[in-house]
This record gives sequence, C-alpha cells and structure tokens, in this order.
Amino acid sequence: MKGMREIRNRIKAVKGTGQITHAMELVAASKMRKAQQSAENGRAYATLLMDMTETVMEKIGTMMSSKISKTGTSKRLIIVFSTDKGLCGPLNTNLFKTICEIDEPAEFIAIGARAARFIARLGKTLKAQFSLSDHVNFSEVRKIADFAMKLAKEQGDIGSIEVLYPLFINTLKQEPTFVKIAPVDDLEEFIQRLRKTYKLDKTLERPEDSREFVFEPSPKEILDELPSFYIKQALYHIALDAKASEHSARMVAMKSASDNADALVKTLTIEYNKARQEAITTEILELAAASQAMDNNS
Amino acid sequence: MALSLEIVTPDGIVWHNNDVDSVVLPASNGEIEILSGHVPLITILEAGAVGVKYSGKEENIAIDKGYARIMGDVVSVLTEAAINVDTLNINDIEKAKQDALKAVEEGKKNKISEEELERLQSVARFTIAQMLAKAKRKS
Repeated sequence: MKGMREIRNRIKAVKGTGQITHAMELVAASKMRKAQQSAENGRAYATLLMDMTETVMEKIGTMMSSKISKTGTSKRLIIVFSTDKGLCGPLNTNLFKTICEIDEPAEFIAIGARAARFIARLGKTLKAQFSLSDHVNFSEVRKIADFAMKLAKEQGDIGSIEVLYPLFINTLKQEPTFVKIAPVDDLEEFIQRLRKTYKLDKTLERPEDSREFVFEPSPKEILDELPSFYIKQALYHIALDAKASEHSARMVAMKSASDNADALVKTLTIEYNKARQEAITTEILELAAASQAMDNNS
Repeated sequence: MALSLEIVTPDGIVWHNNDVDSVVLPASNGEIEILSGHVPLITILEAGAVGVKYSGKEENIAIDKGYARIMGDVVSVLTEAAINVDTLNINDIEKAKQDALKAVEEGKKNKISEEELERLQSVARFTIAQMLAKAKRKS
C-alpha cells in the first residue's frame, strides 16, 4: 500500500488534469457550433450562386469543358485538411492512413502543421503549407484556392485537384473523404452537392420577372468565370466542415479524458481511504500493544 | 416602385435594404446604374464600389469581383468580399495600402515563398479597391 501523501498528490494531479480537459471540451464544443453556424451563414451565397448558374445554363444549354488542360501525365494535387494541434483523437491518424494508401504520383498542399509534418516525413512532394484560424475566414480559403489553381496552371502536369478532409458525419464520427474540386467538367456536380449540403428543394424562390434575360458581356464569359467561384465556395465549405470535425473530435476526446479522470479520482479516493483506515488501525494496534506491554511489566 | 438590394458574400448577407432608389454597379463593361423597372440582367462585376441611394442617403460598399443579378426589381450582388467604406477611415486605408505594397515589393526582393507573395498581393488589391470606393464617395 502506497503512502497517504503520495495518493493525495496523485488525486490532486488527476483532478487538475480533469479540470483542464473539461475546459477544453467546452471550448471545443463552442467552436464546433461556431463553425457549423458559419456554414449555415454561407447558405445565401450558395443559393444565389447556384440560382445564377442555372439561369445562365438555361440560356446557353451546355456546360463548357474543363479549364485545366489534361496533357501529359495526370498528377493529383491533393489538399489535405488536418489540424495544427493534436489532442483530437484519431482524426489526423485516419487522414494519414488514407494518405499512405495513395500510390499514384501526387503532390500535396497541407493545411495544418500535422499534415505538413507527416507528408514531409513520408518523403512526398509537399508544395505548400497553410494554416487556418479557428474561425475560418473566406479570405483565408481564397488564398489557398488561388494558390492551388495557379500551381495547377503553371505546372501543367496536374490532372486534378482533390481535397482530403475529415467529413463531419456526426459528433462521434468523422470520415476521411476525397472530394474532387477541379477540373470542373460539369457544374451540375457542384450544384447537386450544394443542394445536398443545404437540403434545398428543386425549385428556388425567385423574384417575379417574365422578361427575357440580358447577359453582359455574354453568357459564355459569365460561365467561364463561374468555376473559380464554385471551387472557392466548395473549398470554403470543406474548410468549415473540417473545422467542425476537428472540434467535435477534440470534444469527444476531451470528454473521454475527463470521464477517465473522474473514474481515476474515484479509485484513488477509495485507495486513499483504505490507506487512511489502515494507518489508523496500525496506530491503535500499536497503542494497544504498548499499553499491554506496560500492564505486563507492572 | 422601389428596388431592393442585397449583397451576398460567403459570410452571409452583408447588406440588405428593400427600399432603394438606385444602385450603381461596377460592371465589367463600365459602370451601370440600375433603376426600378430594369430589364432582367446578369453581369460580371469588377472590384470596385457599389453606390446605393436610399431615402435621401448615399452609401458606398467596396466589393471584390463578382456577379450581379437584376430580376424583378431585386438587385442581388454576389461577391467574395464586401465592406462598407463609410465606416472606414481613409488614412487608415492609405496606410494599409502603403504597407501592403511595401510588403509585396520587399517580398519580391527577398524572394519569399510564393504563397506568401500571393497573400500580400491580394491584401494590396483589396485595400486599393477600398480606397477607390472611398475616394469616389468624396468626389
């Protein structure tokens, strides 16, 4: 049996850790809600973008071809959304497992320090590393999208831009998921995805106007510009989703840590009480033995 | 009949008013002024200022590149960033612009990483758009 003081110190330490993990759990929960709220705020933008695209598409009928040329080998440019900090359960590890499974030639852009370190250690080509603040701004994401698109254009041997991120399924479950964001062969794909994420019905509410639409400078030019808006919107949404995943993963990890700390404190308290009782018993025994010895002597 | 104007960015609807007299848009073919009863139109917008007149007041909102849709007296502006320039101080923007441009120059000289340069350039671009919008309001 350990000494009482030792056990008392351990209880104190475990309680302190439990308090910290509990605080982190609450912080993660609030950050997760914020990320989800931002995603909801983007609804108006997504709806308008989609509605405009459909109006233009109705006018000219077909969609245009992809912007990125498909000459030469088709390398994949993969943007990996990881976290800057750890303590978020198996979130990053699951992502890294998926990275390890990629056999084809690929280049990476890492979001978050964790992925950057891992990719560098694997010896794969890391093109850039970005980090996102907890409250993701659109401008932060735009920077990444612009960089990726520019890189793809300059290098010429990149066949597709993909995103690997932890898809938020629910608070307990996040799954590494690939999403192709470029080349944009068909905006329809993006529109379908948007409809799904925002749960929009087939018909959108539009202001009443039956007159013929005018397009300036021309429907074609408008349509040519659209993919980059879609790519950025999609990336922004993914970033928010990844953040929500990160925070919920952290929340769950911290919750189990707090629970664990509580359980540990309970066991330790029992152990402490036992030690205390034992100490008292020993003392009484000693006293009794001493007095008996004195009685015997007299 | 009055127009309604909404400016939509990924962060939400940043400006909304249902009782607007006229809207000036920085379209790619030059500035256009929208009044009530305008034909349905979709146009590309350049980075610049959206001028709004409503109930005797005039306001300018700096926007980045985007689109505008006019449909049944509803003007919807879709852009990636928007900011109300009337709440900005011109000196602050001027300073921000100088800082941004200086950072870009220094970056070019010292050969900083490409993505950093990219970021600086976008900062510079947006501050200049803000300045233009503000200056326009003064004139």
